[in-house]
Amino acid sequence: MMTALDAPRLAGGYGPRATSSTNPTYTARIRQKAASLPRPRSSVAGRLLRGVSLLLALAAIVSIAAIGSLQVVQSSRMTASGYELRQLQQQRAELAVEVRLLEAEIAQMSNLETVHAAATGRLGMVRPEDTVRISVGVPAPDVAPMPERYVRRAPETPVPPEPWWSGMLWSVPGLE
Amino acid sequence: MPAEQREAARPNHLTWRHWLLATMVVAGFAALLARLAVIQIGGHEQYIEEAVASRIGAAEVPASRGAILDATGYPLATSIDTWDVYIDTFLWRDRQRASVAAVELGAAIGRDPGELLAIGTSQDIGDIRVVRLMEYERGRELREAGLWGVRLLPSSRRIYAEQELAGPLIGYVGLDGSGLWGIEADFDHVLRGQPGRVVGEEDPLGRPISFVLPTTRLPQAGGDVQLTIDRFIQAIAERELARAVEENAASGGTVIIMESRTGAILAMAALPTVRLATLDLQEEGLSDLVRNRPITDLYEPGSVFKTLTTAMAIDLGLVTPDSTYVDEGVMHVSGGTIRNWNFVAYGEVTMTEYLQHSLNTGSAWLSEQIGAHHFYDYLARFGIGQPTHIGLSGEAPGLVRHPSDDDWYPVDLATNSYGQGLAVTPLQTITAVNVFANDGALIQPQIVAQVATREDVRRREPVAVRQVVSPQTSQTLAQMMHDVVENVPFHYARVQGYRVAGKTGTTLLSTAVGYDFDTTIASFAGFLPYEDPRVTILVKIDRPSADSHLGGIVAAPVFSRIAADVMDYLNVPITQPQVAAP
Repeated sequence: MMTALDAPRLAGGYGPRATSSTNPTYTARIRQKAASLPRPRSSVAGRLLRGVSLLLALAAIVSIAAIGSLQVVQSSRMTASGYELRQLQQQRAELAVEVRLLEAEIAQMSNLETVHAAATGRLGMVRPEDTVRISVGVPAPDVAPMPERYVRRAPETPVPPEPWWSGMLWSVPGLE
Repeated sequence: MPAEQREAARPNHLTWRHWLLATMVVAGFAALLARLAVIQIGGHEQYIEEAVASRIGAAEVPASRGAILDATGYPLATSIDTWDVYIDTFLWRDRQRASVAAVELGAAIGRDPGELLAIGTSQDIGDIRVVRLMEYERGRELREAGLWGVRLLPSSRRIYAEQELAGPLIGYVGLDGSGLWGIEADFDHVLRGQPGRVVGEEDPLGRPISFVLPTTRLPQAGGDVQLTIDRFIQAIAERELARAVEENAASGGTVIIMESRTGAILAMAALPTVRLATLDLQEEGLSDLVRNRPITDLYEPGSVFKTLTTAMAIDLGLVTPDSTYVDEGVMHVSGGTIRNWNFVAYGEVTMTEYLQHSLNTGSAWLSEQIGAHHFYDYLARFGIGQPTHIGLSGEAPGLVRHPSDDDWYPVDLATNSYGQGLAVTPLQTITAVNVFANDGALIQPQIVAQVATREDVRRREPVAVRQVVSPQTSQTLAQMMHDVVENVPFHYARVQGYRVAGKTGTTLLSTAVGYDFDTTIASFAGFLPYEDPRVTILVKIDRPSADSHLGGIVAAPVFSRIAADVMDYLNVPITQPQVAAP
């Protein structure tokens, strides 16, 4: 006589396969046992599963929308950056123009004619009539004639004190 | 046939007509699809370009032209930004707005509004320029005012800060922004830069709409060309040359100052010359004034050439400074007669004395000792008869006839030995004489120190072309040139505080029909300090017609004055003190 606990083992391949067509008694027993099991637990899990699925679906929709809008945001930021870049380029170009204008102004104000006019006019300078070039043939002094405070001296090496016994040694007659 | 019968007669399956119709529809759609693919995929770029081109216009923005700097970095030529002001005649068809704009524009540029209105309404379409090279700040204010139908386009103006200085060398820029001569022309490709492109939307008439699209390419400023010319030394050279030409009632002249060791040209002056500050491009004879004479004009160098002949003989071991020959004042060579410049016979003279007295017979005698083969070989080694490759356009190679030439005669060897019968440029002369300041090495002259572009900076280094004579020969010649100046009483080329080595030259002017015995070219070439040469100077005065026409009297004092000022400017320690302390 085969028990209900033996049925799965037999269905696993040790004996002839037990099916509802071949063994209606066994099927009926299974159905009866399944009906006797408590049902509420599987209903909560299902709701949870549906909620998670819904959330995942929403998250997917939001993600897709976010990805879609990201391109718009990036494009917008690129446009803004490009505009800012152009503004800076324009600013740089205008500063470069000003630099060139100032350089030209400096050049014109320091040309030889202007300098000559300032020297002879405003400063009252004249060209020397005669130039006498003098070479001083005195040999250079041995020591640089600099003030004491500017002359760096070599640090003095401290003399080590004589050991205590040297005095006694040199006091021995005949060792001087 | 009744309708029921016709209905019944219709086949209840697809006939060949159905298939034909379906095939035609499918084929039509397939053709349209294929065409669409060709347009969208194959011609994508082309159609985009055409679409953009139909509404987008591009304007060229000129690049700022680079500067020409002197050796100290001072801009001898530079560009500043300006504006050109245009009236849009199409927009000025609106008389009411045009009148308002004309009043404001007239106030801004100092012109009569009525005149502007007449100009702006003289035609229906197109732009008319009313102001050229407006100052940048004023133009910017005018542009910001946004006057109706007034458009400002960027332009630039060339500034020559030193005005008259080195006109033929620096050159000039034409209205189209291209260099016309000098450095401006030779280095135009470096200086002009790369123009930019501003892209903007246009209306159907091609006029720009104020909403300008981004600049697609910014203009790239041109590179800078730094010369070896020092503007202070150039000014000294031009001042003293002008003084010498005036004092000697000369037709013109040339001064070249070269840094002895490097070959760098510190000054290159010539008269007559172009005045950039007051230049009129329509002026007659302008092409004659803009010529850079030190490298284009040929002349017979005269007795300065005796230094070269003497160096050849010493280098070949034929003579020493103490070798003698007997000067009879006249010498007959191959049917020709050679005479000393002063028609004096000095008897037995040493080589040093021959140079001091500048005896033509001495050179002719030396040329016989040297021989034609060696003589012309040495000439080529000195760079005579060939361009120096200084890097400027229009440099003349000179004219030297060789024994292999049909028009060469044996007497040419004698006349060539003292610088007649051949033609050189002043630059060739100073380059050859500079050999004796460089222990016998020929240093290539250079006028461009550096070319700086956005990509790189190219600095030119001194180039020793070849060893022309031995260092011993060179030193011997330098000593003899020193004796020419320092051991001849009252020589005008002397410079207080320094010892000078040099040689005078006086040559008859060569004309189409022979020599003009009434006119000369007086010159002096030398270097100092003799002990350690810093500068080599050539002074050439053309057709002096005042008291004297000799190089020793006309050109030597110019050399002395220039050399003294240059030594001061370069702060070269004196080698010959006037006052010595005990």
